[in-house]
Amino acid sequence: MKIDRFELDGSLVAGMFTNIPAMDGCLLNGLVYYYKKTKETAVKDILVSYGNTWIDKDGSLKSIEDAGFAKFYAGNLLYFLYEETKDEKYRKAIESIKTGIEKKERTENGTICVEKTAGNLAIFCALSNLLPFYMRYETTFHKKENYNDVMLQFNNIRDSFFDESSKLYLKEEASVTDMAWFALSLAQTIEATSEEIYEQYHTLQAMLRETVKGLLAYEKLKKADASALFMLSAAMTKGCRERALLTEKYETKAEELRLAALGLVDEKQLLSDSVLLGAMTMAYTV
Amino acid sequence: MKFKVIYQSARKAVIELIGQGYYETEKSYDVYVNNEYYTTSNRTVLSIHNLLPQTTYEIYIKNDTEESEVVTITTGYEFVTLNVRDFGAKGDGVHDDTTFIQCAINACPKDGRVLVPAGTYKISTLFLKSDLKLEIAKGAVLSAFTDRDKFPILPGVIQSYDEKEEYNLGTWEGNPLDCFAAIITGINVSNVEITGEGVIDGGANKENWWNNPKVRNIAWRPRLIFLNHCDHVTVQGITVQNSPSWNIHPYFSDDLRFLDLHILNPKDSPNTDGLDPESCRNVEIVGVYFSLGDDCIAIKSGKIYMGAKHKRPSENLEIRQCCMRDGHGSITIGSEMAGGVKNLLVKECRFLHTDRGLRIKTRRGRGKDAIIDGIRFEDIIMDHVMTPIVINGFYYCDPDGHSEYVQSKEYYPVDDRTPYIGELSFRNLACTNCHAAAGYMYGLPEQKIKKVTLDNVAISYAKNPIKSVPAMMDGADETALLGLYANNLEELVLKNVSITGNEGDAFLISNVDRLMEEQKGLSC
Repeated sequence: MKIDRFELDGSLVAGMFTNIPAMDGCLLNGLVYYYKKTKETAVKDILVSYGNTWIDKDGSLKSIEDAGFAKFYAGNLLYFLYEETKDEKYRKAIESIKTGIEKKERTENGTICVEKTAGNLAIFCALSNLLPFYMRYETTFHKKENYNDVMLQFNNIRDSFFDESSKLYLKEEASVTDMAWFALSLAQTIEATSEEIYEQYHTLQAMLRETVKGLLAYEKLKKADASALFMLSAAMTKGCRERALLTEKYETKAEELRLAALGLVDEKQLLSDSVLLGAMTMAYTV
Repeated sequence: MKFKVIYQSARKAVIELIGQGYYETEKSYDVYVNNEYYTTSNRTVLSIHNLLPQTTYEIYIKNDTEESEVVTITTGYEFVTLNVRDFGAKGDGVHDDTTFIQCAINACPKDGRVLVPAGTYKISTLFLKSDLKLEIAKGAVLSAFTDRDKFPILPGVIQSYDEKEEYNLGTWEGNPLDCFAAIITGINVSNVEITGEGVIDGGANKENWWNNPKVRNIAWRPRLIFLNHCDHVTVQGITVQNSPSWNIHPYFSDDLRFLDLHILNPKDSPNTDGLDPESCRNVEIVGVYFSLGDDCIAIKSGKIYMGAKHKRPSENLEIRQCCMRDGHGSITIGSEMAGGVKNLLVKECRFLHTDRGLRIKTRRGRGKDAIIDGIRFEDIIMDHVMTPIVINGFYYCDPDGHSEYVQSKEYYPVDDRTPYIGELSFRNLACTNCHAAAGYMYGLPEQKIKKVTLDNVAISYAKNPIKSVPAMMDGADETALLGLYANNLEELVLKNVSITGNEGDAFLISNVDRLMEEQKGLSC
């Protein structure tokens, strides 16, 4: 795998997996984008192999299920595997994971959460994990019937957590990484949204624009870690591709963030931090 | 015997007979121009071609019993004619003539005419410009390529540099989405006339544009004629056929005339609406023949985003002396009508073998700007129309179309998402060989249809009626010989309404606040 100046041994990358999907989601998403761009067979093999450790032949999930939301983010892998292999076991697995959404608790205004007493930051991060998966499910398999519910989540996030003066989410609680993660989640959700439901597609585009602008103006961005910079860069690059962001204005800025992050990392760090590697991979290939 | 000249230019005139029938006359008649026989016709709207500029003509018509007065016209001024052959167009049905014809268009001065003489001209996209007269002569065919690679894309939305505004070019089914440029495209043009006896052929079939039609393939399918933010455009005399998607799509355009056209597509062609004015004002559609695979005329004003953003209804439309055959709805309003449709008059038309005569499609969620009001139907003949009048407040479109919110027949609070249907009147309708129902009008309980008037309406059924769904909503089962169903109206006026041959009650009326009847010849 070649990403900028780094040539990474695929087997070492594969060795970074914990085989707990909730832990491996970021790297899995990164590798999916990497494969889509480069068509390197070895990377596809890594992803297929991971799929086989997670999903049994009959589509049941081998891993132990927990109440957390991180597995939804890893679930994005399964859409890719289904598309590539047409193996119905992945469809079954997607349906199985999706039923987890229906079992989740909700706050009074309908926000999906681990538990009703969960704090704001926990809800914010959980939804960042969930919403790209949820939207893609609705678009691909469910005739968009629950688009309104996905939008309800985003609208509730904005209503509850967005600060109009700073243009940031949960400024007092969330780290730059959390905010950048949300921006990336938004961009991936837009990617999974049908433009034919344009009013909702447009709302998400506007939300991404607003989120990115807020982060770019945030003084803490200058001291953010590499993962955050890569995530924001990936969100902006994807946003340009989805025409949520003006390429002329934001593509260069995305590249500047990528380069700034690159200057903060070395190979040892990349091969020991799957979130960092996943974020970097997405920044270059999304 | 009377007629009026409803259009004249340097080279053409269009006459409309008065009181002689709907689209067709009962008797054929002869037309004389400067005392010379011109043609015999049975059309109520007729084009006279091949006139000369700045020339006076005396026109009269006569049949075996009557003769009209002479009407004198003087044709307009023409500066020059630009024959596309002189610009290098070959018209041989093989070479790509797009650039050569486009050159002639771009070079055409004010008061000039671009002439496409007889021949088959292969083209991709032609772009109109202001102050243009484009004549497609008899025997001329603008025959479109069907290779997507040849068509430019109109982006749906381009953001302004300051990120505050948007520029909309492309559109698909009420949303600002990327679409291929139409075979004839006008963007921000004024004073255009597209006339002639020739043909624009989109070349569409199931192997190309109609293959997998609901899926975007690079961009959404092109129209035959697309007018985006244009004004004072007349399209007269030509035939348009085999369109990749909607045939003629004027969009955010005003002061438009569509006269004596033929719009033709196979019955099973997908999304080949005939003429879809979308957020347009002052539109006249006269003497047009439709036979195609979807709604003949569908009046629109965008889906939720465009309706809410621009709040631009389609309004002030007059449709007369047209013949609609084989389509879904003869006249449809919606389903994309989030900006509203107001002040529509349809008169002196014939609807034959269509699914619906008038079809209104709306639903909860279309928004408070989705106002339908001032709809008048007068002097209409319908034959073998499955259900003549359908007003559907529960149309099951869009992903949530079957949801409880959209389909519930129970009261919901009126809010920003609730559409409004105002006043509609139907006068002098003769509907024979109906099949499913005489009419099916179902408003929302929380915002009823304000007023429907049926005055001198006669409905009878086919001997062997075909069962079908009277309206596309949950709970409307297939039926045949159903009477007039009316549910959730504030006021219903029935004046001399005759329904014969129905099964069960002729009038199935519920939740109507005020029912006013003056009936003769009621029968069950």
